[in-house]
Amino acid sequence: MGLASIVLGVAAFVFMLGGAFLFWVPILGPLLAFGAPVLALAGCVTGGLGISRARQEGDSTGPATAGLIISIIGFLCGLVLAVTCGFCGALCTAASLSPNNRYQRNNQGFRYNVGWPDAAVAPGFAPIPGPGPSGQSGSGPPPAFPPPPLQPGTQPSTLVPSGPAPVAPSPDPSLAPGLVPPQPAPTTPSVPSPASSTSPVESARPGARRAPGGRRGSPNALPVDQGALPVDQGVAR
Amino acid sequence: MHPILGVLELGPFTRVVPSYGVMLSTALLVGASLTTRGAARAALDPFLVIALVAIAVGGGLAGSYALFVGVEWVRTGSPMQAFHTGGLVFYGGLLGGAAALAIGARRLRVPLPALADVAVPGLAAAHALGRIGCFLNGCCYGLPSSGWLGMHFPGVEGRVLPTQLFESVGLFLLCMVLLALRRPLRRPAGRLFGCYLASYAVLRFALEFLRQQPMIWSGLTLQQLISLAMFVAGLVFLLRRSGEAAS
Repeated sequence: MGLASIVLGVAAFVFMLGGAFLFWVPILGPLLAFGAPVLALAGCVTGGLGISRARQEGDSTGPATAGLIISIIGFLCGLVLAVTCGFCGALCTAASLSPNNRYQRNNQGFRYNVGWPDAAVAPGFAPIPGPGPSGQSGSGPPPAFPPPPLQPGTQPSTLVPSGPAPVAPSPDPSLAPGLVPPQPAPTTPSVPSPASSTSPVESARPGARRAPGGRRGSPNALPVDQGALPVDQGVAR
Repeated sequence: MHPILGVLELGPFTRVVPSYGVMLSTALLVGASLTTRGAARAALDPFLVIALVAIAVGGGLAGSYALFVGVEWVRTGSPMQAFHTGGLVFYGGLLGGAAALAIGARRLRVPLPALADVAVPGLAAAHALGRIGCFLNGCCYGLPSSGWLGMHFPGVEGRVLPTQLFESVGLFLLCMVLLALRRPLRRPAGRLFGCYLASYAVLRFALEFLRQQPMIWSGLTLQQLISLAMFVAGLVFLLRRSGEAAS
């Protein structure tokens, strides 16, 4: 009993270290982090029983006492670790196994790559459901307002697709408050030049550069290449 | 509120030390030491009681997390949401710990009523410290309040009642009362446990009116329904044991 208590206490410490540094690995991380207090509790049980039996039989209580002390310390530290790294690891596991995370679902080669579990929902990367006109899964419905034609050599400067220019409230008294007079029909859309085909998101993030293989330097930009951004799939590719 | 107690730096790695985890560990340590000291007074083997406390803590943590997952599953329709947030429910811990303690006491041939009497003051003290951990963590707060008792919590608009502190104060008082009643209610064993069940049920039932919890039946929350059942069980336990003492 005493030896078992020592072994369990030491194993709890080993699990604790593993849980602290491998918490991001799905299933294994939370298993280690939550397993540490469980092992320590088992060590406390065997240590207490060991001391009790040793006292009844007149044996030495040293190993059981050592195991009990190691297990108590391991439990207290392991519980703190389970509250932090354990729950964080459970979060990583849940994010990696979540069926509604399109980034994880589409990225079959990196199914358990949870370093950036919520990269697909980062600001500016909201996924658009449904197939688009091109039939690709990443394309969404057409925008409410067509983007204005761009002159060759110009760069879009805003993240949001720009619609008609804001119009001041109409001074026409025949219109109801809040209504604006009908705008003239848009001009014939012109094909943007290759220089202007950069997505608005990219232009809004000048630091995000594309690597030679099609990937960007920042790991936050991975979903763009996996189809989370329709502009990138439909135009840039 | 002070959710992060500090930051532990291990070379290139940094890990935060949460206040809730530290308070939970402290609470279990204080509760276990109170229980062990009480066991020595009640002529129980303290090391057997340590082993049984460890069994009860394991069952309690498992039960509290299981009930939290169940509640979140019912609330959101998916158990995965529980993994995203994380949490513990006390009543699940009480049921799980009591079940584990009963099984362990039966296996180790320790009288369960006497063990329950020994354990309840420590349980109340541990629960009180755990509620302070809730307060530091910023969870389990109450209804919005513009009075002088209202406090600002992170992520909450306006001021809300710090029901964790109310419960903590109540549990500390309950712990004192139980420690004072330990000698008068010593025989027959089990009356102190019944007293704890009934008292805490009343406290929790009243505090639930100040908390933001979903009502599931007749305007009562799940915790209030469990409190009602616990109050009846505690009263029956207390009266039956008192009847045995009178006879």
